Formats: sequence, C-alpha cells, structure tokens
Amino acid sequence: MRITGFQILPVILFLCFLCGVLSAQNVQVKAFADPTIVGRDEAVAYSLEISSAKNVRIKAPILPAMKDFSLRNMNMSSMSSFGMGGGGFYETVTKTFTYFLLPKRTGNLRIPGLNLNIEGQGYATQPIAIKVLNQSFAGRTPANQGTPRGFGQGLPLFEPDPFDMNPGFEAVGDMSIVAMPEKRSVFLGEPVLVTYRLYTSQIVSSLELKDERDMGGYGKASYNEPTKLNFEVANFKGQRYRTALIKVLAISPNRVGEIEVPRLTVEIQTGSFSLFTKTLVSEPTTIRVNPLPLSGKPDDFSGAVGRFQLSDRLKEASIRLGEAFEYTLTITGKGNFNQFSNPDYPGISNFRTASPLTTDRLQAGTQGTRSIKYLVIPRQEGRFKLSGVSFNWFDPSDQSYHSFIAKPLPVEVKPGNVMTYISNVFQQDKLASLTALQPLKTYKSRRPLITSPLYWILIILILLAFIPSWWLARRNLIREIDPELAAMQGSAKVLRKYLKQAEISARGASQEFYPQAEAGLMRYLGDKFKIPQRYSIAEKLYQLRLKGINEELIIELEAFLKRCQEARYMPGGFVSSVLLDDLNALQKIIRSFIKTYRT
Amino acid sequence: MKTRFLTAILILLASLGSHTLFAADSARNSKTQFQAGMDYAGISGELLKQVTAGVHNAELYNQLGLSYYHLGQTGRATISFLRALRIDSANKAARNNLEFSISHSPDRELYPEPSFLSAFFSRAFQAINLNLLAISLLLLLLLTSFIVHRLLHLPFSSEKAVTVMWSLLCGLLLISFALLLTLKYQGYRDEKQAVVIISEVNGHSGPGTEYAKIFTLHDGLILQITRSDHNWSLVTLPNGTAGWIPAASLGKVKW
Repeated sequence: MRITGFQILPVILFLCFLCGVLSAQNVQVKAFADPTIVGRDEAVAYSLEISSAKNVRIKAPILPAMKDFSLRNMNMSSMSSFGMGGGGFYETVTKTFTYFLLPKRTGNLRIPGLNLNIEGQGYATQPIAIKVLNQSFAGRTPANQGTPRGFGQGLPLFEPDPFDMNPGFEAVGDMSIVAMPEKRSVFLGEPVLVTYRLYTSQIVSSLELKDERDMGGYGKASYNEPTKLNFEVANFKGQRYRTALIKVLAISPNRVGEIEVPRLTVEIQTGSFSLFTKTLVSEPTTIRVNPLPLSGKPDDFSGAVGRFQLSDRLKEASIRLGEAFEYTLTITGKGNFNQFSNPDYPGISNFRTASPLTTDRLQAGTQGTRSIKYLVIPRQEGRFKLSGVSFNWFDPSDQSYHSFIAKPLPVEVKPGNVMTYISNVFQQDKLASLTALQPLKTYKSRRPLITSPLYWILIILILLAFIPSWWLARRNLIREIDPELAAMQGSAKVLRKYLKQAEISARGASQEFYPQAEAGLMRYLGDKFKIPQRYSIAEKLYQLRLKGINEELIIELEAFLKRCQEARYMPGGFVSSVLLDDLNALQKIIRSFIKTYRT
Repeated sequence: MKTRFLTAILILLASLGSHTLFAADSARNSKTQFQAGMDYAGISGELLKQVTAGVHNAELYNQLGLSYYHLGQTGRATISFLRALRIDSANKAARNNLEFSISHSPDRELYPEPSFLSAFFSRAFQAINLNLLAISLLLLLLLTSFIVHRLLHLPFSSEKAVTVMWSLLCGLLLISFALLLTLKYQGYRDEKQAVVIISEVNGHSGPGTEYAKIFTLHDGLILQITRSDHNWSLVTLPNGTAGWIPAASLGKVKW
C-alpha cells in the first residue's frame, strides 16, 4: 500500500500537537541564592522556582536540616505567563518559594540540594555554595539573580552603534559578540537592557549559548532570547558584516560605580556543513551606576526606581463582619520590580491585614504590571474610613522622587451572620511566614478566670441558691397537693411562735402572757380544726365538741381560757405568782392536742 | 414566650463566643522578615523582664518567642509559643509561629500527620480559649439553674415537657462544657510537656551515656516527660518513641 504525503500530514500534525502538550506539562525546578557572598549578619535569599504548564498543587518545600544556616523566614510568590508553541497556546505558572537563611559561621558554606516530589515525580536541585565574609553588609538590598522567562516580544526599541559601545571592538577572525547596553550611565536600581549581537562575515550554521558569566553588582533577567538567528546586514569601515540578535538581558544595578555587564560565551559552527567550531566571548562592557540623589529622598523610600503609574481599587465598600475587604494596588510601568518589596498596608485600629497576594504580569521583571491585593479584615461592625497605602519611587527620566498616597475610602461593616461566624472559626488561613515583632510595650497580666476565687464564689452562689429554692418549691407543692396538711403545718408554726412569746412573758412576770396564750391557742385550734377565727370562744368550744374532741381536754381548755379572761379583765385577777403554773397548764393542753390529734 | 427567651439566651452565648473569637485574633503582619542589625537580644531581655515580673499574657509570650526565634534559640521560642497558646489557645499569631517553627525544624518528620477529623476537632477546640470556656460555662450554669428553678416552681398540674427538654439540653451542654474546661485546664497545667533547648542531643535506651544510642533530637522538638531519674529524663517523642535524654537539655513548658 502506498502512503502519500497528504495522508501522513494529519499524523505529523497530531504528533506535533502531542509533543507540544507533553512538553507543556513539564515541571522545571530551579534553585538559586542571592547574594552568594554575604557578610556574617546578612541573610541569604534562597529561592526555589517551580515552573509548570499547569498550576501544580505544591506545599512550601521543607528545607533539609542545615547546620551552617538557620531559617529566618519564608515568602511565596507566583507568576503566570502565556506563550505559543507545540501547536498551540500554553500557560506557564511559576511559583517561587524564597527562604531567608542566616549563616551561623563565616567561610565557604553550602546550601544542600533539595529533593522534591511534585505530583508523583521526583526533582532534585544542585547544592549552592555561599561565601560568608567576616564583615557586615547590613542594609544591602539583595538582588534577584533569578532568570524569569522572557516573552520573546521582539527587539528592544534601540539600535546603538556597536562600535561606539565597544571602542576596543575588533572582529575576531571576522566574527565577534558585541554587548550593547541601552544606556552607559544609569541610576542605582534603574533597569537597563543589554543587547548581545553576533557580527560575522562568515556563514554561521548554528549557534549555542554555552555560558553567561555574571560579573556582580546587578540583578538580571532574560528579556528576549530568539530561537533562531535572523541575520541583517551592517557596514563598518567599508566592511560588510552580517549581524543577528543573540540575547537581550535586563539588568538592575545594585552597586554604585562601574559595573561590567554579563559576559556571554557562545559556540558557533561555521561553514555550509558545520565543519568549523568557534567559541566566542562577548567583549567586556561597562556601565556607570550613579547613586540616587539625596535631596528630596523620602524617609520611607521603597527602593523603587523607574517610571510608574499607580492606581488603587476597593472591590466592595460594604461587607459583613467576618468577611474581608479586597483592596488592590496596581503598579504599572518600567522599573526594578524585583528590587522593591510591597508597600505595607497602614495599621488601622478595628482592622487586621492578612498576607498580601502579589500577581505579576512582568516582562523580565522590569516592565509590566504588578497587582498587590490586600485583605483587610474588620474586627467590629460600623462605618469606617479605610486607609489606602502609600508608595514612593525615583524616576530617572526627571531625576526626582514621586509619591502615591491613596485617599481614605469610606466603608461599612454590617453585623456578621452564622455563615461568616462558622467560616471564620474553621478557615484554613495558615500563614507562610512568621508574624511581626511588635514594638516593645507593657502588657497587662491576664490570668485564667478559672484560677480566680471570684469565679468559684459565683459558681457556689449559683449552686447554693438551689437550697432555698427547693425548700420553697416543696412548701408550695404541699400547699397545692394537700392544703389541710399545709394548714396544719402552718398552725404548728403559728403555735410555736405564740408559745415562745407567751413563755417569755410568763418568765418575765408580764401580764401580756394571757392575751398571747389565748390568741395563740385559738389560732392554733382554728387552723388545725378549721374553725373560723371570727367565732367567739364559746362557739369555738362548741365546734370542737361537734368535731368529737375529747371532753376532758375541752374542759381543761375551757378552764384555761376562763383563767385567761379573769386575769385580763377581772380586777385583781392577775397574780404573777401563778404565771408559771398557767404556762405549764397551757403547755400540757397543747401537748395533749398534739399527741391526740397528730394528723 | 419562654422558648423565645431561652433561644435568645443561647444566641447571646453564641454571639459572645463569636465576638471573643474575632477579638482574640491578634493583629499580624505577615511581611515581617529577619532584619539584620535589629537588637533581638535587647528586645527579648525587655520582654523577659515583664515575664519575670509575673505578667501573664499570650501576646507577650508570642513576642518573646519571636525574638528568641530570630536569635536562633528555637527551643526557647517554641516554649514561649506553647505558653502563649496555653494562656490563649485561640491566639492565631502564636499558633502560626509555632507551626512555622515546627515545619522548619530538623525533627519535623517526628510529628505525625493528624487525620482530617482529628485536625477538624482539634481546630475547633483551639478556637475556644480557657477564659471563653469558663465564661460560657458560667453563663450556661446560670441558664440551667434558671430553667431548673423555673421547673421547680411550676404548678404541679401545669405542662412541663418543654421546660424539662430545655433543662436536659442545657444540662447536657453544661456537662460538655465542664468536661472541655477540665481538659483545657489540664492542658494549661500540664507538667509533662517539654521542649529540647539545645542544638542537638542523643537519646539512649537507659539513663546514661553507657546505654545504646537510639535517636538524635534537635532544638525545638516538643515531647513529653514520662519519668525522671537523677539528671536524666525518660521522654516520649511525638511519634511514640521513648528514650532517655539529659534533663538539662530540656525546658519545661509549665511556668
């Protein structure tokens, strides 16, 4: 069977697409440290950069035990970029975990390699050598030595004369690599593009970048690196050269004085059949780095150098307690994005701020947009003014400092609901770094309530309240269930009260004994045998007889009552010497009634 | 009417809890990094003076822990974070710092990974601190006693089912809160919890270096002291392994 080119074309296209997809799934892990030469009190920023075509789920990698370094803190950032290849568009997500390591001693130290497991695949990084000098570099701003991917969006918008830029240029065997900085004099931190071009009069069949030697004093990122050589023609001193772009680097100086741009080493094969191989190194090229002017420099200068436009936005001005305001600061422009940190959100009472989330859409870390999202969480409901952040930077184009101060924004915090409460309790808002060390202040002692005697006194009082409550409840219950029993119990109480008063009067030889004894006795009998109190004594005695009370007892009672009447109303009836006898008679009558009629 | 009143009291309890939880979340700023040249020794000294003067404050211990951590004294930092959490288990800053310290310690593999349910309940338990629990218990006791008093004084012939149900519900809640408070207070008073405070120490099968070495521990590991014998302590590691280490290499979390 004959297979035609037309038939095989879909297969080839499918394979190309498959290759693109497969290559896009690759995960790349890079590790780098900045700076690699530090003072004894300077932290090294050790970064792990994990790039993938998809957003891989990865926890912050745990560093292996290091005897020469102690971990001080950790930050995480992520960046995504889009590109085309393998038959379609692909997205690259890059997560960078930066660990701040403090050396424990001076000398030549090593950050060990790291073994990572990402979605079932193992990855390993190389150890990194760090030189720790016995001197202090406190305050030095670490540079980002990482090499983020460029977008490959074409040449920079300048094309200086290479021979002006490299006065010592002499084509080596009619072939040379020339480094052309965008500017020869810049300010500290001002990013500058360096273009590397190949100049040749020979036929070049292939070119391979072998090395990129860093000379120090800057942070760098790849701005553009074409995948193939596009030759143009250039004339110099009557000689025709073919020239092609090899690479464009963005470098951000972090040292004042003369700095030398990175030196590129390339291997070139020449001739129609790649018969000859040459190794070329770019010519030494320097840039003068000027210090930032002191006049007009803000006290809280962020370190940002470039041309920036800033804007801020509040997503919602009214939320519920337990939710968060989303405040976004956007910085757009060209500058040393990799060399300044996010501005702090100003501390406001009644609010707390969570970790800001940074999203970069930057080319080589120097040009584009950075969005910083702050989550501002209210502590109480009400209407407030939400402060905006402030940010300052140095603009090399007009050689002056600029500031952006956001206006305060009015916001409203409504009462929280059950859902916000629950989500607040169980939210997994783990921070990836240590919290802030607050300024020194005097703290108030807060001992647990459970150790306070007052707390236990309150508990005991609440429990003791059950005793009188129970007693009252029982009495009320008896009254409700058995009113007669309640009345009898009540009569006994009344009797005790009158008897006690009568006894005191009798022992005090007081005439009050008789009315007290009579009243108490009548009240007792009235309650006990349900005889209305309004009846006269005679009527009460009659009622007692009707109820079948022992006649002897009634006679005794009658006699005692008569004695009371005499003592009270008959002239000379009161004789103090017989008071105790009468008291005994009263007690005997009562005992008889209690004994005989117990229920 | 009564039911509405009781419901209102329960909502009040819940809202008190939520308010305290929101308030307990201390201010934090995650952008803090190690600052070269900062006088962490001086700061820790000043904070320690307050601790020595008897100040009992979770944030104070958290700040002390941070300054120790920046000084490279991970063990002492861990003790301070644990003390902060004993005073206020809902202190998110101290919890975060402790977890950060643990996750970056050389012995992190010794800590077992908790199951989902265990982590869920542990988090819920941590969200309620000792004082909040004590106040809730007191309010619940008041509520329960109010309902029981009401039940006692209800007329004999009246309907009691709703009141009995409420009193049972409140009683159950009261018992649960009392148990939780007991557990919390046991944690607060726990005398066995300790932390390794020297950079490296070997664990032996007996109380002396002449016994076989069975493991090596590092600064900051949290463990339990099971027994002490002269200058040696029998400790249990988070993974359940036991061994003897010198008592001087340990710092107790209890005050």
